[in-house]
Order: sequence, then C-alpha cells, then structure tokens
Amino acid sequence: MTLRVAILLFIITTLLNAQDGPALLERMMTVLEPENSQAQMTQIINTTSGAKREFHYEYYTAGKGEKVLIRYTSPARSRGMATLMLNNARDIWTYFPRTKRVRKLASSAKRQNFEGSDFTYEDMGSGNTWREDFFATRLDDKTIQDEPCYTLQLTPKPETDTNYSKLVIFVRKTDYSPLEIHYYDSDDRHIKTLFFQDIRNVEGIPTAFKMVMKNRLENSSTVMGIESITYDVTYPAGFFTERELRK
Amino acid sequence: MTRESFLNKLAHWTVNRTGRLGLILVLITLLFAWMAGQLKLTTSFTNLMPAEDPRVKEYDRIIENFQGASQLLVVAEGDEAQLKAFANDLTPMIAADSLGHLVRNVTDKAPLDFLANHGLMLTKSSELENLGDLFTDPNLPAMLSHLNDSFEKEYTRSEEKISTREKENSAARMLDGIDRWVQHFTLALEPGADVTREAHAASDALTVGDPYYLSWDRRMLIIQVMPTFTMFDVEKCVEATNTIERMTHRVAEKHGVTAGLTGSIALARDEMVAMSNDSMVVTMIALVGILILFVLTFRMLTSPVLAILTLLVGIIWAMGISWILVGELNLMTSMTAVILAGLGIDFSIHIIATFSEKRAENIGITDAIRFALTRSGTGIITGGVTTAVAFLTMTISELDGMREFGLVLGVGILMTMAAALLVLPLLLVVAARTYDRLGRKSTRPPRDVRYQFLGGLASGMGMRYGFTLAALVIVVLFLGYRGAQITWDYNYLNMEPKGLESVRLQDEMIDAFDMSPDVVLFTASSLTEADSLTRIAREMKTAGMVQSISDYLPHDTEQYKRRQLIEKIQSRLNQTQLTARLTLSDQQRVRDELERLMYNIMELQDLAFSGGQDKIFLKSAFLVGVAEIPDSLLTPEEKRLTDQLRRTMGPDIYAGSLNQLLDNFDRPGFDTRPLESFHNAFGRAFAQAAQRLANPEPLALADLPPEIRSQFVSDSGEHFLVTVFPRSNVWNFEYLDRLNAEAAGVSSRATGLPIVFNALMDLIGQDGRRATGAALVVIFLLLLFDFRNLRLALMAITPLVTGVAAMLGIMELSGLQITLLNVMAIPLIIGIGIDDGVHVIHRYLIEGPGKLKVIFASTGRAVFVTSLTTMLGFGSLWFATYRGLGSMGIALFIGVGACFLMTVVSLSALLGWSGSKKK
Repeated sequence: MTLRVAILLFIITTLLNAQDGPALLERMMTVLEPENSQAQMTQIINTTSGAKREFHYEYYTAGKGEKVLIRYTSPARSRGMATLMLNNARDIWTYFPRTKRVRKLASSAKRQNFEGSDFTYEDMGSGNTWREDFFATRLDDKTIQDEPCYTLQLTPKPETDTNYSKLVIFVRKTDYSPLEIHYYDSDDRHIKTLFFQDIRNVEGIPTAFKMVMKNRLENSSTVMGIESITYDVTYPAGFFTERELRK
Repeated sequence: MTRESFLNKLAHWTVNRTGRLGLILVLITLLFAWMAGQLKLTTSFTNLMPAEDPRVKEYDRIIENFQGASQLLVVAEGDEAQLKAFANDLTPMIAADSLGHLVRNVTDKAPLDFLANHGLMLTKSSELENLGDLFTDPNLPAMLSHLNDSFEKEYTRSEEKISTREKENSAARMLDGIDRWVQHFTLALEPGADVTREAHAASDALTVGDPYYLSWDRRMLIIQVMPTFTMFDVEKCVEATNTIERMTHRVAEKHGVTAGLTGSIALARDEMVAMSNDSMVVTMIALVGILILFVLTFRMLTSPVLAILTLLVGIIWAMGISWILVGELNLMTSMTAVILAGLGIDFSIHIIATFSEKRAENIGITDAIRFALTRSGTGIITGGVTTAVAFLTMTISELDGMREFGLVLGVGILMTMAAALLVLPLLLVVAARTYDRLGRKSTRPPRDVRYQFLGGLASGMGMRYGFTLAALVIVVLFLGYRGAQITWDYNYLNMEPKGLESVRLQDEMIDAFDMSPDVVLFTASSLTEADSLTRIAREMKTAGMVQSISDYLPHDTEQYKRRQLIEKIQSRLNQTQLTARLTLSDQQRVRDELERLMYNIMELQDLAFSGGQDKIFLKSAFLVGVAEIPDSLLTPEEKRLTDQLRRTMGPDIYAGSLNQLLDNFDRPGFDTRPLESFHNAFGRAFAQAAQRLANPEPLALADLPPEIRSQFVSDSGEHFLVTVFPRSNVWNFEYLDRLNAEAAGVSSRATGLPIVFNALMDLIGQDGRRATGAALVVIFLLLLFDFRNLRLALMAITPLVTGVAAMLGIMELSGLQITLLNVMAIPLIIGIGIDDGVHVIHRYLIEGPGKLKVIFASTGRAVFVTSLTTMLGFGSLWFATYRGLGSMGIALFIGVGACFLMTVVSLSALLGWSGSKKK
C-alpha cells in the first residue's frame, strides 16, 4: 500500500513538473512581461577601458512589453532625450530636446546597442515576441545561483530578425522568475549573459531589482537597477505616440 | 677514484705543481676566451619560440617580405599649422639619400593624387549608396541638401552602426571634413577674402579631406618611417633612432612643437639603452657590496680580488663552451653572465672560508688547502651538480629559448665550479706564499674566524627541536597560505623603465588616435581573401583600425558594384548645370540647409554622448559646440569631456564653426555678394573634384602608388597584408588575451608582435611549471644518489621547499606581485636554494651528530656569506631602471634570504632531532 502511494505521488509530481518548452515560456513571460509597468531606473555602463557611465531614466511599458517609452532624467546632457519602441522594438523613434526633433531609426537599429550599453534595443523591448518568433525547448534542469531551475532554450524561427542564434534561459522553479539568460551569436558563441538579481515581490510579481548584462566578447558590463516600480498603472490613449515623445 | 681522493690529489697538485697547473689553466682560459669571442647576440624574441611554431614562421615571413611590418613613428604635438610645417620640413630630411641605408621610405600624408583620382572607387558600395548623391550636384543649395539627406539616411536606412572604432573614426573624419569646409566658407564671406582659394580648399575638405595624419583635435601628428631593417637588428635600431631623433628634436625646436619617436624600433632602442646603463650601475653596486662584505667577513683584501678573478675565469670558460653548445646568445641566455656571477662567487666563498679559517689558526698552506678542498669540495661538487642539473632540466622545455637557457646556465655553473676548484686554490697558494715571502711569516696568535653566534643559535634550536619544528611548521604554513594568495601584475609596461619617451608617446598616441602601433598581421594569397579577412577583422572589438590592400584595391565583384554606382553618379553630374546666380530663394535654402546640418550634427552629438563615442561627441563640438549646462550640474564624465573641449577650443565651447557661419547669414545687412562668389567658385572646384573622384576606371595593382604597394603587397607581389592596429595598449595582458582570442577567430594564421609575445608567455608559463617540477624531482633523486639515504635527502631538500613557500609568502605580505620577469625567479631559486642544505648535510656527515655548533659556526658561516653575496648580486637589480629586472632581483633577494633562514632553522631542528634519536 505504501509503495503504491509513493508511486502515485511520484507520478503526480512528475506530471506537475513535466512542462514542455512553450508552456514553460508562457509561465515565465507572465513574470517577465506584466501588462503595464512604470519604473525609475538606473543604468551603469562599465566599459572595456574601465570607464563608468551612469544614466537615470523613467521607464514605461504597456501591452506586455509591446510598447516601451524611456525618458532620460540624467546626466544633464541626456536629460529630456526619449526613446519610443513600438511593435516589440520593430519601430523605434528617438526625441532630441536640443533640436526638438524626432527621428525614426532604421528597422536594423533593433539589433544595435541601446545607448552604448551591453543591451540591444531587442533585449530591451522584444521579450514579448519570444512566443511567436522563437521555438521553445526544455533542456535538462540545472542549479543556478544555488536555486533549482528549469532550462529553456529559444531558437529563432527562420524568418525572425534577431541578433541571436539561440537563448538559454534558466528559470527558477519556485516562481518562474528567470535567473540567467545566455545569449549566443550566429557562430554559436556564448557572447553575453544577463543575470537577474535582488528579486523582490512587487504587487505579486517577482521583480529583479538588479539586472547585470555581462558582455563576454568586450569584457564590459551594464547594470540596470530599479529605483522604484509599480505594475498598477494605466496609460491614457496616445501615451505611447510620437507626440507624447516630444513632451 | 672517489671524490675525496680526487680532491686530495687536486690539493697535492695545487701545492706541489703550482707552475705547471697554472700554465695549463692559462692556456685553457685563452682558448675559451677565443671561443667566447665568437659568440653572437640576437635580441629577437621570436628566436626564443620553437622554430616550427606557425605564428613565428608567419611573422618572420612577413618581416622578410613586407616593408610595413616594422615601423618607427615620429609623433609631434603642437598647433596644426606648426605641425604641418614641421612635417614638411622633417620628412624630406629623413627621406634624404644620406639615410638610405636605414630608411626605405617616409610618409607624412595620405596619397593625395591617388585619392583625388579614384576616391569613389575607394568608397564602399554601401557608403556610395548613402553618400553618392552628394557628388551629383555641385550647386551649393543642392550639395548641402544632399549632405543633410545622407546624414538623415543614417537614421532611416543604414544597416551599419557607429559601434566599432573603425566606424567611429570614419564618422570623425567626415565631421572633420565638414568642419574644414565650414571654416573655408566662413573665411570666404569675410571682406577682402580670396574666395577662389577658400572655395578650392573647401572643395578639397569635402572630397579628399586633410592628407596629414592628424589626431581628432589636430594637435598631434604622426610621420611613419619604414626602415630598411627589422626591429630585431638592434644595432640599426639604435643608429636609426638616434639619428632621426636628433633631426626630429632640431626641427621641432625650429617650429615650436614637441616631438619624439615611438613604435617598436624606438622602444627597442630605449630598452637597449636602459639595460646597458643598468648593467653598469647594477654591476658596480653588486661589486662594491661584495667587496665590503668580503672585507668584513674575511678581514682580508686579497680574497675578493682572487674570488672575482676566479669568477671571471669561470665565466670565460662558460661563455666559451656556450659557443660550442649554442653558437649565439638569445634574450634569455644573454643574462647568463650576470646569473653566473651571482652564483659562481659562492663556490669561491666556501673555499676561501675554510682556507682562511685554517690559516687563521696558523695551519700551513698545504694542510689549509687540503682542508679547504676536502671539507668544502664535496659540498661544492654536490651543490654545483644539483644546481646544474636543476637548470639542465629546463632542456625539456618546448621553447628553444628556455632550452638553451637551461643548457647554457647548467653547463656554465659546472664551468664556474671547475674554475673555483682548479683556479682559486692555485691563486690562494700563490698569494699565501707571496704573503709569507713579504715578511708576514711570523706566527700570529691563532684566531677563530668562525661564526660562533650562528653555531650557538643552531645548537640551541637543535636542542629544542620540538619547539623549533612546531614554530617552523606554523610559520611555513602561514607564509605558504599567504604565498598562494599572491596576485599577478599583467601589465608589461610596468616592467619598463619609468619616464621613457617612446612609452609616453605611445600612450599619448593611443589616446589621441585610438590605436596602438603594435599591430596584428594577417596575410592573404588573393585580393578576395584579403577583402574577406579585412571585413572580419573590422568586427574585432579589440581593433582600433584595420588597414588593408582591399581599401585601395577592392576585389573584382566589389569593383563592379562600385563602377555601376559611380557611372550613375557621373551621368547625373554630367547632366547638372552650374547656376551662376543665387536667387533669394536659393540663399534662403542655403541658410536653411546649414541650420538643418547643425541640427543633424547636434543629434549625432547627443547620440554619441549617450553611446560613449567620445571622439564623435568632441568632433561635433567643433561644429556646433555643446549645450550650455552649468558645471555644477555635470557628472564627472561630462566634466572630463567638457575640460577636454576647453583645452582644445578655448573657453567658449557653446558654439562651433557652424554656429558662426549661420550668424553671418542672420546678421542684419548680410552682404550676399561674397556668398554668390563662393557659390560659383566652390561649384566649379567641386564639380572638377567630383569628376576626378567619380572615375569608374577599374583599379589594378599597377595603379597603386609605390608607398601603398610596398606597405601591403609582398616583394614577390603574390601576398597581401592586412594590418590590425589594436585600440588599446597591448602590453596589458588581460587586453592582450582578448586581442589574441579575437585574432585567432579571424584567421589561424594571425601573427604579429602581440600574438607571438602572448604565445611566448603561455609557453614560458607551461615550460616554467614543467621545469620546476622536473627540477625538484631530479634534484631529489640526485640527493638520494649522493647521500644514499632517504632521510638525509629529505632533510637536504627541506630548506628549499620551505624557503620557496616563505619567499612567496613574504612577497605577498610586502605587497609584491608576480610579474613576467620575476616568475623566472621560481625555477632559478630551485637551482640556487638547494646548495645551502647540501653544504650543511655534507658537513654533518663529516662532523657527525651532536656537532651542530661546529657545523653552523663553520659551514653556516660560508652559507651565510654566500647567501649574502647572492642577495647582494640579485638585490642590486633593485636599482635597475628597467623595473622588470628590479622585480626579479627583489624576488631572488627574498628567496635566497628565505632559503638561508630555513636552512638554519629547519636543519638545526631536524639534525637536532636526528641526533637525539641516535643517542
């Protein structure tokens, strides 16, 4: 009898844990891309030469990350500059307060570094496309940062416009919060790692207050820190538009 | 014949056949001196590498076949006009026939004619698509409109980004051209201006740019000198650097600029000079120190002279035999004489110590010599052979240089040991007899010159061996633990003397141009391969600039694409009419386009600021200034850039050349006649320049100017060179590692100074570890063979093992780091440190248990003095300006001292323990 109960428990536990790649991706995305958010953020770029550059900005997202608006508050020379990303960073505009003009960036800009950091526009604003643009496969579980994790591999579909040949994501089993993302280039080299640290629960959503992108090729890193964040926010119509960008 | 009977016989010959033995030794020394005279010196560090290493073969092949691989650079700083006058004056002087044996050619400008005639064929097809319109209409309003369009296309169409240093440099060059164009335009609007001249200069600025190699702020200029020799020909490096340096300083003074030389050739000269000066100073310090030590220890003046004479003979023998063994000395084996001087003196000290000890007791010459040779000789032979074997184990190394170093040093030690056993006793006998003949026969009261305090200390520790051993274990474990924490200093420039002009200029040049002259090289067998290598190399994050034949001679497919685009540009240009008059609407359009240009540059500047592209940010400021923000609100990074701008632009950094030009247009009563004159003159000049640039004729190898051909095409014409200028200083090893990894990703045939140097470092590390391990094993086996007793062999090696642990621990506690050079101290100390234990154990075997006081008072004295002389010898390197030598000297100083202390403490305790058991 005891043996039967044990086998039954084992089967139930295995079934509960047996998530396929897409299901795992879906669970993770609910944590990674909440409906809306508003945050005050800090970005510190540590360059190869040892120089350090620090930026502060306001960060607004809507539509599960499909729309992103970033407005710089410091340093003084960047204050007022703003970037709008729509359609998961497929369309990008930048506003220059000095000339009061808005420039639309080329579609290829998505693959370029965001403000000289180790994040690309794609890393900043296209997480939501992982569901449609990537194949998700679950690999063997790993322990990362002393936490048991699922391992999820994303490979782009043939028509996907992306910098990467694959992403390997380590998702914490307890709350589906990603702990690390490994980025691979077209030569299958592991080029960058994004670490999610200082994860706190904000309004029921596990939120990494510190994200560190380490560039293995350039020996540089960028640290993004959240100073404050809320997910309980709604935006008026027209907030994520070129006109709003100029305000 | 046993060792003892040989030494007895040697003592007998020395005393009884002094003349005959002396004559034989003089003849042998003369023969070795002749052989030593045949030795040659090579300073090429590629010679240290395995000859079959593909990186070395490729590098040597490039050095042989391409003229651009070794360079001497003249770097000048000052105002732009003075810098150009300086270059115009100096370049022909260096290129003069009188320097023909040293200089192949000199370049201070880009090949202007070639660029003017083929400019668009030299522009990538992707850039032509973006910029091509600029050359289709020379009328001022249209040209400006096209220029702005090309700026805005960067946002909307460009597939490329200004992310690599190469593209950043290209953007900075374009901004420089625009800035010069704006300045000439502004000058043309001034009353009484020579409008035609300004218009031509403005046209040149937009088409071919400034031909001089100037930094972004136009305050630094470079002249490239291609020598007729390679950097491995040190004599010519010194001659060429000295000669050109004198000329450079003279011309610099005349034009009010500061200038000097850098590049691999100037660095080689500076290192050579520093090392030559160092060797003189260091040797003098070491000799004076040893002399003082001798006088204090032996209370006699003749002994240092005799010891040094013996040492000189030993070194002559060692160098003579080196000629037979290796033929020429490399960078490593060139240190042999210095190392032998430090070590070889020890053999003499042991003999002098025992001989003087007996003489002080009024023992006769014959008995004193026999005593000296038999008591010290066995230890000297075991110590000498173990040290030699330790060095000879380096012959298992993969590196040719390390193998030769081990061989020459190992055999050299045996030669200095032989000289000490054969020559010194002879000299001591002659000196003692002369001394006696000079009336010092009278018997002096016997003196005890032994170190009784040392004997007493050792005896005391031996009696309390339990306590001593426990304290020793604690101290060694602590120091060993600290030693394991020691860190590495990976910066090779920290090895160089401080204040070298070539190093300073190189650093300034890297800051100003974002490129280091220590290049990585690739060769290609075809233009297509060269083009492919160039494209991949340009993606290297560690690259500052990539120069390639494909910049001047694109492959056929690319040439075809460019021709198609150029023919379209040419056709549109031919259809365009120059308008003689500027209507009011045209004038307004010019003004509006200038404003649009200003906005475009401001936006580029803002993007460059947030993207960390300092050079574009600063260069843009020349045109549009920077936004006016109070200094108190600026971050340190913004403050740094602002200060840099103030140094270049003066106090007013809030407006640039474009603002000033626009101010002219907006001034009430603006006179439009000069504008119209400029429009006409510029239109004509620009149309002509564009016609020349838009030349669709295909380019062939024969069309290239000789200076380009010689730089990128091999002498046979079959191979092409791609040169990568690193963007940082390659002598920072962390950066060097990344550069190597990236270069290997571009091509497995990557070579160049940084690549070969990195490979050398890796092999030195591998060989060093292997040689150290092998030396320890071989030494232990030798000790086992010598003593035929495991316990004694273990005892003899204990001071060495604990001494090395203590050495690393003391270094770490003193804040020292492991460097490229002092890492060599570890295998060296294995060979050096073993002697102390060997001598003490040998004396123990002669004296027997319970004689710790005698052993350490007598042999301990010799071990103490030899350790002090070796410490003095190596410690004197601390005074070397070449800081790498200093780091090695201080490591060996600590190592030898630690081995001596460990000999006294560990062997007192172990021998005391062993003696107590026998009781």
